[in-house]
Amino acid sequence: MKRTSDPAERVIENLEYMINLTEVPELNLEERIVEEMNKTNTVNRHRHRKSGMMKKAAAISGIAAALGLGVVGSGFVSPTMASALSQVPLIGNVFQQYGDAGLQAGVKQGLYQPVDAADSHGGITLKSTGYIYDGTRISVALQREGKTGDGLLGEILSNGDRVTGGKGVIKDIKMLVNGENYFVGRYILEEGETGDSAILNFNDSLPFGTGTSGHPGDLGRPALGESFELTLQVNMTGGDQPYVLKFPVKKNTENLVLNPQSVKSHDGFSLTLDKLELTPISTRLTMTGEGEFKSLGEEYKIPDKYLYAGKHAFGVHIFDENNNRVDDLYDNRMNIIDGKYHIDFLFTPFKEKPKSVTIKPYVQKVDRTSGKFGEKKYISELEFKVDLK
Amino acid sequence: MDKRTTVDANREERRALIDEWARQAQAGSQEAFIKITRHFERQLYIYCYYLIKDPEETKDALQDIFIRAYRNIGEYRGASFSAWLYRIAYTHSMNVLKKKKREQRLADRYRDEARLYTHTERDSAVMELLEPLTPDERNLVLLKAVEQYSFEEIGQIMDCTAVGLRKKYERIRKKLVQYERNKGGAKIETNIGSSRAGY
Repeated sequence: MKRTSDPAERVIENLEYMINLTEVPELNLEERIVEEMNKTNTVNRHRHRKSGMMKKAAAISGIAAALGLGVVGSGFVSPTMASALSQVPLIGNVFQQYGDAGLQAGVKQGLYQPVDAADSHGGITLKSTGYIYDGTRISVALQREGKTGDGLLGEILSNGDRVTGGKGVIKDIKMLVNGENYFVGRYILEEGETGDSAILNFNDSLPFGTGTSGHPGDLGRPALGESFELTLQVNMTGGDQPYVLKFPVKKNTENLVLNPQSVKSHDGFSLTLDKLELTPISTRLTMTGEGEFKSLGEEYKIPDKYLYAGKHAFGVHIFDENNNRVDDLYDNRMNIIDGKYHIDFLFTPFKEKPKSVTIKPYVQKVDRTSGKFGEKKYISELEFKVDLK
Repeated sequence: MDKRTTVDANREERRALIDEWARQAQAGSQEAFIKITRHFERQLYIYCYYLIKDPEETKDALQDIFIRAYRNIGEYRGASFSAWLYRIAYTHSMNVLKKKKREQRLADRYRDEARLYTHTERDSAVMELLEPLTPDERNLVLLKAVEQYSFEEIGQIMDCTAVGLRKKYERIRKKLVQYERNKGGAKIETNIGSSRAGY
């Protein structure tokens, strides 16, 4: 280090020198950040109470799908479940008032399943009071007891970002399925009414980045299946040990599952409709694409140096026979695995069982500099129309 | 060749590389963002540690800062990613500090000694010297120390002119000398001596 005879300069230089000698502890940031990166932004969706009456669950039960499609389920809701409508526990309201369209419908249809799982330490109790599960997506009601003065999710900013200081604020959640670590890719937390309640959402669709080098999901990630034991390890601020909630989860929906395996080809690109699953709380679409469009310009390809460079930015919209489109449940993103396009997207459920569904694939322009998506272009030759009558 | 010149040359390369990673991360590359994280984590830890003064809270803050940067990377406009990141870090650290002070006021009422943190002798000496500085002055010293930023670069982070920062830096020098004289002054030299023994 440079020495001077000026005592003032020596003090500040010595200070700077010492600052740089500060010991930095093991941070393990990479793992924590990858996990965080795979979550969608924490959502703060304060929803308005529904004004219209929901269609009666019984009206959409018992309807068979037809036309040679492999139907496993036969309708959205069993009559047994529909009859339980009047027995929805009050706590289910966190889903009804603050959940997405699927959860609100789920509560109305009696799909909420109460549980009694709790863990207490440091003057705070964290409970899971119930869940809704359709074999694909699970939403868990979380409730905190004990005075902290901070919201269970901390301070949620308008852009969905969170400030997680204080005490008793959820920092992160680790999921275990049947006692094994389960890489969910991302999870969504929604804030409940009181600041002491929240909804945790995750699902078993393909996480973004699967198939890329070192992706945690590549280590093996089974479907959640009909039933499993769920363990949540919830780290909260102000505590040095996680709150552990363990309870059995069982699917209680009757889903409409279509496995058409139909293939359409156009311009060097072939698209297979693998599976379409309609449940009372979600719509899940699985497709595989192969090849590249010969006549599409470079503006529709993901630019060099970006993940999936050279591939088309591919998306899908789903409509019913009246041209009502279901929304993306979260931010749907395709994956490229061994050169093939893998679409495993989740949407909100149809409000009522459609007579037919039209799947409209599109490609999107990508700005070469910023990588941002632009105008969408439907590829009508690759559309699938699926009759459900 | 002067060592400083070599650092500057490397810094230009480094800056170009970081900006390229930032562009890739904006387009959705998680790998690029991880490279950014690896690159900045040590310096950012030291920077935040002397603002927040609590190692555990600094670790949490660091994670929050990178997540915030990742989620808002679309807002980065390409001037200097490093300056953009340090602005986030400073704002977040100040928020943590404010919250901590509110809690401390409450804790003080109950004399919660358990919440006092222990630091190494060297860290304590640094904190003692930073103590008489305002948050802005502390920010300037830390940015200069941790990243060896020029006044022009620090100006981008602190929204000040380089000329104003030079003057501020001079005032900090004088303030620290005065502080050392008032305290009796030999402590910092002692610490330097002991910390160098291992090199």
